[in-house]
Amino acid sequence: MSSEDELIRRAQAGESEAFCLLAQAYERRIYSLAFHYCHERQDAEDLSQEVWLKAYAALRTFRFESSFYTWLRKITINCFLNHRRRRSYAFSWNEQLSDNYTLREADANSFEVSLQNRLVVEKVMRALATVTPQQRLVFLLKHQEGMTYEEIAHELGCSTGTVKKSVSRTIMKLREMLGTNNESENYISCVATGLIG
Amino acid sequence: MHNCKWTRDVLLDFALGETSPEQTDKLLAELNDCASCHTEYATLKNTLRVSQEALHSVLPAEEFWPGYHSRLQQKLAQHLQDNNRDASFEQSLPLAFSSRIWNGLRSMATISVRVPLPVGLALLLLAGFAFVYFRSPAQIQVAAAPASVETRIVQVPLIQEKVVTQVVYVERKGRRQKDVLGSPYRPDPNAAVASAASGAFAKTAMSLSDFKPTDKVKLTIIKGSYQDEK
Repeated sequence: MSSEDELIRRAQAGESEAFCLLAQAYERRIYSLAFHYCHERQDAEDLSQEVWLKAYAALRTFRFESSFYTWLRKITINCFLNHRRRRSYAFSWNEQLSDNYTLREADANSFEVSLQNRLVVEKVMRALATVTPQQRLVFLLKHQEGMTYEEIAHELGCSTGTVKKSVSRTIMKLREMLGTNNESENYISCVATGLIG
Repeated sequence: MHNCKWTRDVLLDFALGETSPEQTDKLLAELNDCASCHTEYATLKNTLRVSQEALHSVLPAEEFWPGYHSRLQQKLAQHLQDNNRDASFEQSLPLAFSSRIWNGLRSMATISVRVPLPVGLALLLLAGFAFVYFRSPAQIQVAAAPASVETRIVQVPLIQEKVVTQVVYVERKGRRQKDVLGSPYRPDPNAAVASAASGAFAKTAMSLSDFKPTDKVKLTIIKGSYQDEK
């Protein structure tokens, strides 16, 4: 039995410390997904912590039929969809908010490169802001989580055609925003910053 | 023969790793043949990589996570405390009999039973058939009959038959006289007048003036439209 299974069993028995250890292992992935979905720091924190509370409440229903993260991701998606019903995100990339986050590569590179990277990141965020929450979620599940079209369609209750269309539309927006449709200067500048090889 | 349209159509699936091995082999051959398609693929792949790196790069800094984790722990502890408080509060209350019944009913009403899909469908079909059967026209007519009662007055001819029996005693004076005289009866007008005057003859005359019907009445009810039909 793996240490994760052992933690799950202890958490199922009511040991909250074991659950906290489980949460520590996956909290970054869940938070990252929530943040890219709603693009608001506070909303992302609330949403991701709601996922953990729901997971704790439903932990007894986990039967080791799938991996713990797959099960957790299902809860996450349901939370996101319910959250979307309660509140539709008037989504906009907040530049001031983005200042609170440290771009990883900025620490090691020069100011110019850091600025370039920030510009690219902002373009990606703006591109994601122009698509619908569902299209954004599909793109994140496909591109960030590596789920297949069928898995996404199953989780969201839609057809694989819809999933493909959502991904295609989001990538089209990204290409428009990054200027990679016509080999423009933006694209070249991205190559220069090292984000695009 | 290279087909740019087909190549571009499956290019995104290929970049996202959604093509079958056969499609992948064919696509790689196509990309080697066509520089334009190859450039398109490279651009698409780069877009995906940039976006992925951008998404990864906007994660919070390392110093964010200890605070986040402690807030999550606090929330979890608060959640557990609330749950325990609710549970202990419910346990500490002496439940009245009526509230116990109410709780039982409520738990029965909200109970959920896992039923396999075929069994569930069969039960639904059965319920549907039962509904259709009990709502069939014959059943509806039977059920609706008491509501459409119509009252009609029908005249039935009754024939009353009375059997009247009365014994009338007649004083036969003439026979006594004949017996005496040896001749046929010849009423004496003077004697008749005299007896009439005295009221004795009133007994001899047939009259129903003091007739009283008996208690027995024979009734015959004839059904039908004709009175002589029995």
